[in-house]
Amino acid sequence: MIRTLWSSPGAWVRMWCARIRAELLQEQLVLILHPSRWRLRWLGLFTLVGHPLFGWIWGQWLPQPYESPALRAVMGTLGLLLISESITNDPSSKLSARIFSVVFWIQLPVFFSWMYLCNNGNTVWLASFCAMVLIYYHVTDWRAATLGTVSGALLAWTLFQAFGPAVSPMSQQQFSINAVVIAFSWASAMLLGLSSANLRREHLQHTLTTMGIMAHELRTPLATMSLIGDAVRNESRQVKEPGGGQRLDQLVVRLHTLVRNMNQQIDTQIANARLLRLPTHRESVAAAALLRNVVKDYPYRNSRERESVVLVLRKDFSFESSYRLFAQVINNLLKNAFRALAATSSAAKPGDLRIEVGVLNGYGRIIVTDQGTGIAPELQARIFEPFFSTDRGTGHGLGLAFCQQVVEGAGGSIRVKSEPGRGAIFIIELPILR
Amino acid sequence: MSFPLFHRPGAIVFLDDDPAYLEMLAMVLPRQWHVKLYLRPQTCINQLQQEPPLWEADAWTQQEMIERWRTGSPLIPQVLNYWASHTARFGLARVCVFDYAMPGMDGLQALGELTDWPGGRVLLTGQADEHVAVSAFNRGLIDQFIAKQTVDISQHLITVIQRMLAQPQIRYSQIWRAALTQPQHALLQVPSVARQLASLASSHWVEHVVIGQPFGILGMDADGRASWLQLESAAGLADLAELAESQGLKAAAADDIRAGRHLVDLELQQALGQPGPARLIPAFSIGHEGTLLGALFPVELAASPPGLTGYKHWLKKHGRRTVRD
Repeated sequence: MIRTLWSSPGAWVRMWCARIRAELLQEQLVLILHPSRWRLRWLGLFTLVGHPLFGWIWGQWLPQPYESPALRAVMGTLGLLLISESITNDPSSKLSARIFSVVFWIQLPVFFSWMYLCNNGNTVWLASFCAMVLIYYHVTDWRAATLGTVSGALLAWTLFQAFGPAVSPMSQQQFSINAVVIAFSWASAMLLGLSSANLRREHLQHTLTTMGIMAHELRTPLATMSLIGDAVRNESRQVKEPGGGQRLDQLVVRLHTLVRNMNQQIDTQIANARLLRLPTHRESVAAAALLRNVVKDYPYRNSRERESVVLVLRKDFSFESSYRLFAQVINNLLKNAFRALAATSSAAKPGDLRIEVGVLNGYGRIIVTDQGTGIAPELQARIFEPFFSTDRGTGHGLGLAFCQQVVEGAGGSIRVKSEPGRGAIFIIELPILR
Repeated sequence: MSFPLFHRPGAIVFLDDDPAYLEMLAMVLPRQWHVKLYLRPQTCINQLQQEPPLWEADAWTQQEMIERWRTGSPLIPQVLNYWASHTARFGLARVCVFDYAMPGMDGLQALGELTDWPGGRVLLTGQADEHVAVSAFNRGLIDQFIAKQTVDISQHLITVIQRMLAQPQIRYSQIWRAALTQPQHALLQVPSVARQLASLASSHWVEHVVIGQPFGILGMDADGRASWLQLESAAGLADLAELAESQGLKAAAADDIRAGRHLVDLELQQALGQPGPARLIPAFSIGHEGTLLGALFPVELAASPPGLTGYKHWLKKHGRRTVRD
């Protein structure tokens, strides 16, 4: 793919044109970035107070060549529109977006360009103009900001030609300096605006993918459940036959197991989804007992999975954490290990998933080793990031992020050693509670 | 639909990464199916990749029967011998059903590995993968896809697989077409004839072969009992009556044959090389047109080769449904 692109620059150019066109035209226009009620109120207040304040600063305290209290009063009044109930009540409505856009277009590019021109591009207004550009790209969509800046500057220049005060022409050198500084700040603002638009989309995409995967994970047991229903229907017709009642009982057991496993899965998802606000409850946790319980209660999919787990207790230790959360950490690690084992080409043998508990150099260690497919070196650095998954099809990328949060919350560390095709070793080190 | 000239049961292979799902499939699928369940793509692929040479050898054996028939060896005893000696034929898979979402390798990648395997392909999908399945179907990679959330999925699966099992296998049709004359073949293509033969076949036999000389269908039921459906076109009745008379049958019996009330198993006896008293069995009309008559004669045990044990016996020996890890 890459090689063909290099060898035919035409295709390369076409690809980029398509990308740029998509970025410009297809992505949704977000006129108010983060349209929250409080953000709008603060922006309104800032406008209302800021303009009179700076009018006083540049007019009285540190006087500049040109300042207009009347204009400042008008600009300040615009802030009232942002605070008004109609817009703060429904920040995401179309009307709010229109008012917001007009207010910011007038008070940012139009007003600042006017002031810059009337003050003949002096130091204060060069800096203020650059700051304005950066602010503008932070409050609205980068495409709207670009269009607004160009049109605002043109309008201000036209007004300046007609009604502006007379100023002495700027030297060629000063003009060049100002142009470079403005170009620099404008380009930076545009780039940052574009990249944060991408980042917002990416976050949304991650969240949606995760929701999709969670839904899929719940659908898997439901598919089995539906077959159990069919089997019950078949068996109920033959319940009088020898062994019929017994087979029905077995199906009921299956149903209960399935529901238990689904509940455990839901618990896992809920725990993982609380990544950023883990409860801070702490207690003394005994490593050996915890691992024994987790290994005993894990929802294995078949007896072979259960038999592949070997728990080795070298030396028990206690550490300070939440028992429930830490059990979830081990659950996540087991789930990943089983997924890696399922992706290999041969059946799991006893010992293919090995958990060791021991003490080394004064630190408690829990080591989870699997003989699964392993993790490529370039991915290993990223697996603890939220939403990063080595398998975007079935993994949501929250499990290991959760593990890291909990382990670090207990003052410990977690790391991985792995080679593709040769399994993975997860090493948790924890300070021992004496 | 056309009536298959050659039919026999085959295995149905399932590949899914969820053992619980496979175990439940094992419970709900019809008992008479030979079902193989696989948990790992690689194991399943390895198994299926061993089949094409076996299919080839099997087709070759059938081709040889036709060759020998051309040099004068009757087909009926050859087919009975083939059924008795080639019991492994039941183990060849006819249909595979792969789950799409699996760790390591998805269902389409797994199907992609089966380049030479000739059976039917079904993909099981989740809702989110439907577009993948549609595009795979359009590219001819799969014959059918079924969403796992389909209401009453087991019944749906069974219907789909039954339909695929009932379809003639092109390779075999070509081989056995050579044993028929053009008019015989044309008779079988008449829709009402094909329909009635299909329902007859499914109610009496698990496997069958259509042959042309003598014209009829040799079938075997699940218990290994063979029978012969003698077919006779209305135009051929006079010749058959003449043959019966020449073999010493009474004139009244010959009249019955001429009138299409009875058929006689003389040709079957000749083919089996076991002349005995000719049997007369009431004939019935096949299809609406009244151009074809049939009568079903059991093939005597004495005439069957030893080892003709049938599908049920084989299934009992090989058909245990276990999930292969």
